Amino acid sequence: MRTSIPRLMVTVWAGQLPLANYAAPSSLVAEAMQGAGSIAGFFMLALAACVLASLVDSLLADALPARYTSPFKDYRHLGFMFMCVSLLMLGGILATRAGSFVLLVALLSPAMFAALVVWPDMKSRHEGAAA
Amino acid sequence: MTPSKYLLTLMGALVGLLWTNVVLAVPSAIAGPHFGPLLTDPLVLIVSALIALAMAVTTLFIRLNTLFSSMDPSAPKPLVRPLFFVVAHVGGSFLGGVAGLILASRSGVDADSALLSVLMMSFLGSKGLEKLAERFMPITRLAPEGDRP
Repeated sequence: MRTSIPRLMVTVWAGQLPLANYAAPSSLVAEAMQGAGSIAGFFMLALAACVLASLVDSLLADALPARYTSPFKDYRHLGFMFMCVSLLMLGGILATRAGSFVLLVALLSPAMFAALVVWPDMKSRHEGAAA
Repeated sequence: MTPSKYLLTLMGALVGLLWTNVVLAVPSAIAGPHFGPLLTDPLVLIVSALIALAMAVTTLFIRLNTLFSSMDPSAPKPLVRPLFFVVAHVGGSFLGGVAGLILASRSGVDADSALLSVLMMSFLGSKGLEKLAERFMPITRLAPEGDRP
């Protein structure tokens, strides 16, 4: 089973948060993050790192010819779960500060999708090794 | 049970165990006033439960990846007790998460630090119970007596 498109979708979705935060200071994400504290800042940075690693992984494993192998292939489960946890922590911190469930719900679905992507990826990696 | 079927069974068990969040929220809400203000905040409770579940899934994936990588692809070991495997991870994670939330609530820190405490404690709880559980009940079936090294 090919999981390249779901992985890329999650990565692009999660990547727009740090991109908006760092590149567009007047965006809604950046304004919400301004008073969110250092723990939220750490998880935003962690999310950016996971997104960058996932993009490099997608480029090496899916876009380039087969002779290029991705060093991140065996660590995808960690990257996507860390992405999931970072999104949950950001959603939780922003929601508790705002006192509303809405911000949590907005980040919950991509977090769940990031966790769900790992199942077929792990299955296909194992089947690929067995083949 | 093959690794693919095992993964699917684990996923089904996890979906079933999502309901333990609701069950845990009731005693937390009742005991909340005795342990600090954070335990009465429904938003903190829900986010804590989600984080604890995510940490349980993370430790589950870490263990499965180690297990699958160490297997010989041509002769995979049969995997057994999927429900026990999931319950050990989720149970350890929730116990650790509850302990982290109570500790944070009692020490009077803000919600951000409480969530961070839940994150770390649920990871430790899940890993701890995983090690403890597998010491007594392995999740791979042992080879017959004569074939063991």
